[in-house]
Amino acid sequence: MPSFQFTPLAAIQGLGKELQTTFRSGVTRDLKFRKQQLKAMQQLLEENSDILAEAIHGDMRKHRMEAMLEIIPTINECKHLIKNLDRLAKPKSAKAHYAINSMDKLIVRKDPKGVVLVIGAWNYPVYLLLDPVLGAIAAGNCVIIKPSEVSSHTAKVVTELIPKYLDSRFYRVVNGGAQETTALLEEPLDHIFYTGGGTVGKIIMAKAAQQLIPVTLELGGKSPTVVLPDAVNATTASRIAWGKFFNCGQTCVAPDYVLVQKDQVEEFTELVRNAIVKFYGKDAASSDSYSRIVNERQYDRLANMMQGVDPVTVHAVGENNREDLFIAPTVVAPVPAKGHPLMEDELFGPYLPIVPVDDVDHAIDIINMRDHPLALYVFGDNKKQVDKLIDNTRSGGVLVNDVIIHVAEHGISFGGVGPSGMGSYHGDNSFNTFVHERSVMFKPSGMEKVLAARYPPYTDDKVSLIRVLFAGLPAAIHAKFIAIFKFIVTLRRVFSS
Amino acid sequence: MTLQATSFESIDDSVSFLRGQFIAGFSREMCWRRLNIERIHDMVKENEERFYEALAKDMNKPRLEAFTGDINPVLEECNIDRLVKERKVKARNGFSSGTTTVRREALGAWNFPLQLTLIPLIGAIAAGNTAIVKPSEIAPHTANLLAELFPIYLDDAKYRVVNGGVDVATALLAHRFDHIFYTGSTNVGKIIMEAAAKHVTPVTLELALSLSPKMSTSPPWPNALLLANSSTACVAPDYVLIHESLLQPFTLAFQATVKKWFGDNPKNSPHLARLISDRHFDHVAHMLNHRDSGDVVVGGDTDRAQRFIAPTLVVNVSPLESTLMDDEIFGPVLPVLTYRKLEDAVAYINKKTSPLALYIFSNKKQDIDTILSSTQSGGVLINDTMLHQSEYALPFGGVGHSGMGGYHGDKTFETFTYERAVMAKNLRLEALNRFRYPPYTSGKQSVLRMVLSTHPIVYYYKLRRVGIKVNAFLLFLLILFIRLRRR
Repeated sequence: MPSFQFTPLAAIQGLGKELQTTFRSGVTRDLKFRKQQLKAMQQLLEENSDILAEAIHGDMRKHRMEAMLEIIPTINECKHLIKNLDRLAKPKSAKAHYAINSMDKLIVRKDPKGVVLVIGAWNYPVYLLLDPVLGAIAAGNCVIIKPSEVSSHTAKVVTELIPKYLDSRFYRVVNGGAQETTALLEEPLDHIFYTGGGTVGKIIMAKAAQQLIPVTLELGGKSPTVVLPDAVNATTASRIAWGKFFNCGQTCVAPDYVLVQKDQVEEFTELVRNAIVKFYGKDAASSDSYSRIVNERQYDRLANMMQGVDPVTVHAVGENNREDLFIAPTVVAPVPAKGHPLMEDELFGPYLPIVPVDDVDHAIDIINMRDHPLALYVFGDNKKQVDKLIDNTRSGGVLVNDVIIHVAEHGISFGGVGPSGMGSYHGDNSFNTFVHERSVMFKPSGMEKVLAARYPPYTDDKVSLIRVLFAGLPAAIHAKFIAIFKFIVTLRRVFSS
Repeated sequence: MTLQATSFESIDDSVSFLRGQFIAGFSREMCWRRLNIERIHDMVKENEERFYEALAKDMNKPRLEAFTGDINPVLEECNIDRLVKERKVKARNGFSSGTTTVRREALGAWNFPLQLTLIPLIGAIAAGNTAIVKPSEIAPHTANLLAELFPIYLDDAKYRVVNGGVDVATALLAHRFDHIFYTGSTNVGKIIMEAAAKHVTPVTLELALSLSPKMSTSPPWPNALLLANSSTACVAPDYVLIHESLLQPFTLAFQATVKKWFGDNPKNSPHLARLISDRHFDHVAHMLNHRDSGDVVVGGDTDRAQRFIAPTLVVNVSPLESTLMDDEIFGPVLPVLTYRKLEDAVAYINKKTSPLALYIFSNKKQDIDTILSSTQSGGVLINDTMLHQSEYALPFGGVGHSGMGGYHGDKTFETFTYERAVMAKNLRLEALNRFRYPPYTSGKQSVLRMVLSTHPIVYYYKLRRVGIKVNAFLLFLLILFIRLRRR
């Protein structure tokens, strides 16, 4: 691990204030400027994808291909924002509901919030850090970029590259651990975007509360995968195995545990094991397609989880090795839904528990026993059963018949609910998260006579006028005429006095 | 009148019961939601007189203000009939559906006790949630009335009123909710967000404690709604910034208006509300009497026994003034500051925390644009005050210290739902997936590159947007090419 510099606390204190001042200059509001910066980001990613892939490999032995699968969606998001910036930044028009407002112009502006802090995660150090940064830039904000210190190789590369491509007056990289992050949270910020674990997420929100800073939290959870009886086949097993062992299970939307009809558990376990062998061979440690656990702390956490698990249920493809930070791809079956060490917290590692269920209702109960996850996966063709599962559970997102790839599809938003997070991004939402929707109502200065009915002294006449102006006319036609007649009479009476 | 507080045990019961109800799916039934919203409409309409009475007892609110500020907005909002829409999104196989969140807690405010409590509730019901409503204890008559009427009109299994003071609010916040909607002061807003952080609960905060500046760059200005509701509206114009040349005409116009509305002695006018409590009276009186600068040119009389403060105009307030200008006044005292150049006025506004509303009185488009692009505020209203809050076509919310999130109209529904993206793929075409599975080879990598990123030639082509003729020609060439290869 290279020793890369944490940003000194003295440099952090006052950074927020400095960026607030440069934000006021209005440069980042200019659409042309934003596009230029986004294009620079695109260049950064395209020209340095090899360097970035190498850094990611240095962090957790992730194969180049998997690194590509995070760099390319980042580039695509960048292109999407550049292409759609004009449309996204345009103020929305609204049509008035009240008749007396019908002559007004009503718009909702998309104003940048100001200074945004983006805190990245270590498991996808490029995508999870830079994707929100792109949105923040597109929205016209100044951005403080804080890479995760756990993925230090990537952090070092990002720290070197950003100042070469982006305008340092408005976009800065800050590195550090808990202490430096706490210092950042005390700065005057206008939005905090955090990707990571729930425990730290809560701390960040509590700290943000002291300054009333809005937060977007992308946390995690145990994403359940339901395999309906008609979908127990090699395809399903391959897709789930791919999603599970991608990045060695260290994915916030990895299929955490699988729910299978109890009489199909053995068959499915076999299918998954075959898929693993097909992907990584008999000894996954020698396959260069298989990544590693990011550090000793995570390794120990995962190793401890397996204590007390009946070895008969454990099917591992390879031998664990702490020095190499290698944990073998492991299927554990059958696993009871409750009271098992693998069914407590989010796994975030290469263990796949297979939980036997009686039927769809049983699966729903098991899912609802836990906190809302970030993703729900359902495999099957029976639309009724699939819909039942979706309607009776809550999750950040749903993907049917595949895993993980809905994250890269930026046509849909991506975010959590409940303990799995709040707020969302990707695609248009990456822009909308970082703007303040500011309603503007333009009233013409005419019409004063009519509106004068709302001024004191309050008389009964005025009350009836206001009633009509605000509450409208009665529905029945004859009542309408009477009301209009009364209105005109009252109007004349009020304004002749 | 004392408020009947809800006991702690029943709070615990209510919370878990309501959650169970939601999970069972009852609150999400469409017809059920509509029914309950109609019931709120009936509740308010049928008991209109009793609400006027309660509001009068709470803060001497005149009938007209109660109508426009509390009763009517609630009745209007009940007409919103947005239920779950599924949006088809332009993606390969994706669509998002608005789903609902579980229990949400609305903490009401005291200045517009009906509107600020019930409008969020209506949105929450429309979104399919179960809800606990906690009206402000500072308006006890209205709170008690709501507690009495709720079980009669609404489904008690899903929507409950919990009454009480700080201790009750704290007890509520210890529970886990799926959303908390709070209207009130900045300080309490911070406490609520911190409590919400423990359960990672999203919050919508509509806060006060930010000054809503009213800027005049040129006449005419209507002498606006300044004094309605004794200025206890979070969006009441809090201070005025006016060009120094316009100060005199403005002061004269203000004087004339006060006389016209409230007569020579405003204390005797039945149209002027009182302040709601001794504490608030003391707060405003203190700010007025202990200010560092400024001259009172209109009003200035106070009477603690009646909690009366006359409509007051304070001119020549210094930009360095702190007593009068550091806190939201929330009373019928209007400080006026003058500026020479527009930039100075803008700089002054930016020195303070982002306000909930910014009012601009001007006919010069350029001035308006300058102000809009160099300041930040929850919302903006040009050439009037306060009305934008009632126009529910526009989302209403703060930014920075004036709050986060928004509501009104469609936005209320959005606030209480979360968008759940659903993507449906099928199990066929598995052969295509070969390219993403290990073992990773360079061959697979190049295929993936092609598929994932738009190939430069295709991108260039799309960008140029070539016409139909060229397209047809290229297609012809392609077919020719394929046929030649086959041979």
